[in-house]
Amino acid sequence: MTSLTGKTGIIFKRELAAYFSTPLAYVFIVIFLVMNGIATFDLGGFFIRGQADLQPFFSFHPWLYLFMIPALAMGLWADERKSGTIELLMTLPINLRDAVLGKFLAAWMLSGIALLLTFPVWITVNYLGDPDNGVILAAYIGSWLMAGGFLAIGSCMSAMTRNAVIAFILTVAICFAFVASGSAIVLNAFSGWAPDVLINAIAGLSFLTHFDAISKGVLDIRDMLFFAAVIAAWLTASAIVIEIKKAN
Amino acid sequence: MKHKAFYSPAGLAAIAVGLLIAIVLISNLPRLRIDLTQDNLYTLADATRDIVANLDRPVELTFFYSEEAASEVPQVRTYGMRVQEMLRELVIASNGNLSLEIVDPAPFSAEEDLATEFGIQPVPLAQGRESVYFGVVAADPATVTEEDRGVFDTIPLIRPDQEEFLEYEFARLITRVINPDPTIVGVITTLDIDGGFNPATNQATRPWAFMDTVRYMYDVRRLDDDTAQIDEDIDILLVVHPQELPEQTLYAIDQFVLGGGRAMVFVDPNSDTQTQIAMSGGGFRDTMASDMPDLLQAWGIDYDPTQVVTDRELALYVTLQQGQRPVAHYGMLGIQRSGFANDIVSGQLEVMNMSSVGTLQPAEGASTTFEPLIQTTNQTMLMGTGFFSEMGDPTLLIDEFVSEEQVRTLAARVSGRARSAFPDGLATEVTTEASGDNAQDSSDTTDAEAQQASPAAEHLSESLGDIAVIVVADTDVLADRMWAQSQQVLGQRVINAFASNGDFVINALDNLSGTTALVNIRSRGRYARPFTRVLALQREADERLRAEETRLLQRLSETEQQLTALNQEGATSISPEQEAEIERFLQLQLETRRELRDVQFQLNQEIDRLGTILKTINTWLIPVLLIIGVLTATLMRSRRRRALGRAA
Repeated sequence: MTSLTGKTGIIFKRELAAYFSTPLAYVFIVIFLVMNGIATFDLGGFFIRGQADLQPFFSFHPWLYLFMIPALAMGLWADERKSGTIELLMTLPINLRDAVLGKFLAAWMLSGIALLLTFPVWITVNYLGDPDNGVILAAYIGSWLMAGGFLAIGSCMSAMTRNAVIAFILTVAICFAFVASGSAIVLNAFSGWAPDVLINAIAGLSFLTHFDAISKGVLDIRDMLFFAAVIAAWLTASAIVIEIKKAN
Repeated sequence: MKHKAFYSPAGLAAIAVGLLIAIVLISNLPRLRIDLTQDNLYTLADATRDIVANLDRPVELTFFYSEEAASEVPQVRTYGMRVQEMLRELVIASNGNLSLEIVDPAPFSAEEDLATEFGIQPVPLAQGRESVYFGVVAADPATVTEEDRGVFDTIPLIRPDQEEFLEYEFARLITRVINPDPTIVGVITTLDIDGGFNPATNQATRPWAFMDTVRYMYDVRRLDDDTAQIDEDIDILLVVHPQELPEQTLYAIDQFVLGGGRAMVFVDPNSDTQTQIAMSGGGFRDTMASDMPDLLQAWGIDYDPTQVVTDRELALYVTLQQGQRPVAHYGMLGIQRSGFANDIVSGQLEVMNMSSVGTLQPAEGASTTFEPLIQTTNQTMLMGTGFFSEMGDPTLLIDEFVSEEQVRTLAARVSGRARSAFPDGLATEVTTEASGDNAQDSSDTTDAEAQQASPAAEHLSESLGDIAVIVVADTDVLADRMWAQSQQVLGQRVINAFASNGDFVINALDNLSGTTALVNIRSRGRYARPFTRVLALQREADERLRAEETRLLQRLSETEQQLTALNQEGATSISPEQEAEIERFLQLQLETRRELRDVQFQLNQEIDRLGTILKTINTWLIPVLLIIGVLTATLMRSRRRRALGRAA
């Protein structure tokens, strides 16, 4: 990976600073935290359950990200294109890879900051009982990786259109497919005609399965590589889409 | 990267295909992982590694798994992966002793016949779906001949709800194949658990239902109450209600356990069965309690045979007379899931019924490890056996009950190194006396018997390895009336269990019948981690408000009594003063009831308040701080800008 002191770093810092110079980062963080609190306590019954773990907190993350991350990612390229700054960006002495990666990393960092700001729930669970903090750490890592996966998809969708709302809807739809790909509904659509290898690959695409495995407390190289592969593939696709659009 | 063809829709398609290929490749990578769980829940236990690494001959594992059918249900698919990983992990740890084959039995295939031959049955996952094979076979290839499959053992269905016991189940399966000889259970008891004679009815009695199962699964050998030697080929000793066992028998048990024998012991401060027999005139004993004080102490257990645990929360309801309302019997306990430790023996039990149970606790300074298997709630009180020796009115217990707020252990597993309860061995004369007052001329024979009974040279003053003992402080738990209805169907006794008492005994014997390493594999780690703070708050609030509650209850009862008295007086005529008095009492009664409701309400209010505070903090604290921070920063910035503007 390009060092963050290089050109990617410049884009990363510029983008991150941009997030915090407008209300966007704050609005994102505030909504994320409030939704998390409501999901954990009201929907997940965290307190009533009486168990010192963060299962009700993490179990909503895939569904929370399904709406929050597309909102964060929709402007990544769509806004640049809409305001015409993408041309300016492309004339700068940086290559496309730096731009894609830098923007992605800035958004990923913002989601990481939002995730870190949920620390009161970690303090709470330690105050109430004696949780397995190893499992909690793994689940945080898993959650952040999953956010990265969602963001990479969002980056590609944002590159496809100049309309941020369309980018949002497309991202939600594709992310939903990735979350649900391990479910019977999706697999049934393929079983019968598709070869087993393909069905296995589709089932293996599920964010839920990999996130669940990590959030049990085990960092398996295969789950980590899965998210890495998804992020790499979608970021590469983002670059291709930008290039194609530029050519048009 | 600058390749033109790549930056095209074809490039996008290539990435999609590439991603799918990468995911297939990644899923086939060898497992490399960091187990961050506190108790290494997902890493093989040392005991398991010991077992598989030290097998004296190879064992073949076959995992029958309908991958295609299972892939339609993600949960089963994930679990299938987990099982495969665990099996592979075992193979890696086995130094080549284990081999693994995964078979997907397609319908009407030879593999399906093979699965059926091994006793693995397909299970339908859901209506209209294909059935799934999900079982494991372990086989000893050395015993396979052309005509015979040889020695093998099977787990016909690996149940997903037993994931935490997978490791144990597999290790157990493997050891069963290596040691296929039936386990021999020696029984010492003063109760007629194995059938006997009821002097009250003058009729023979049937064995207790649990013994039918034990006999079916194990080779049972009955030992005399005064046995002086426990045969070496006995694997597990089942001691039920040991009452006044002679010294030589206690010594024999002591040496058996120290020598590596497993024991399951049921003691009881009050055996209801004996009480019933005694009450029906069928034989009288001084005590209905049983104990082995020295032995239990030596194993690191404190047990008081004069105390019975009562539990307000777990009380069963009994009907004393027909047509009467059932009343809570604080001495008869229906233990629910929350009372069972997450152990192989108790982790899967649903409910267990016990009666007039004693309590066990680790002895001070014990060298052994004491692990509770069955526990009460904290609403308990110890009461003397006097309350229970006669079947009296159980409401008496309710009146006497004042919670000691202590969780009591009713059954426990003890393991580790232990010392003998007979540090100097058994005195020879005791054995001689036990042989009777033999004539002088037969003294040679007596000495020889004594030598045999108590071979001083082989006396063990401490255990050879880790001991493995399970102790239960109740014998009624075994009685049919507590857990099973049995009936005769075509000459066969059919047991219909309504509680898990029988499963508990079988689980325990099954667990004890394994090697020491196997007994040491437990269900892994702590899964239940309660909010200790909330429990403490609950206790605190209980304590604080109990005094108030008692006072109010007292006032209510007094008011009600006075009211009743006034009512009776006023049956003929009521003076206006009396009427006013009645009115005052009624008022007081209403008020007291309201206050009592308030007190009970307060009990939960504090905990609810904590929940609300935590919810508020977690939902709003950081957002509000963030908003305040941003607003302050914006305000300061605009002030600075204005000041700069003015300065300019």
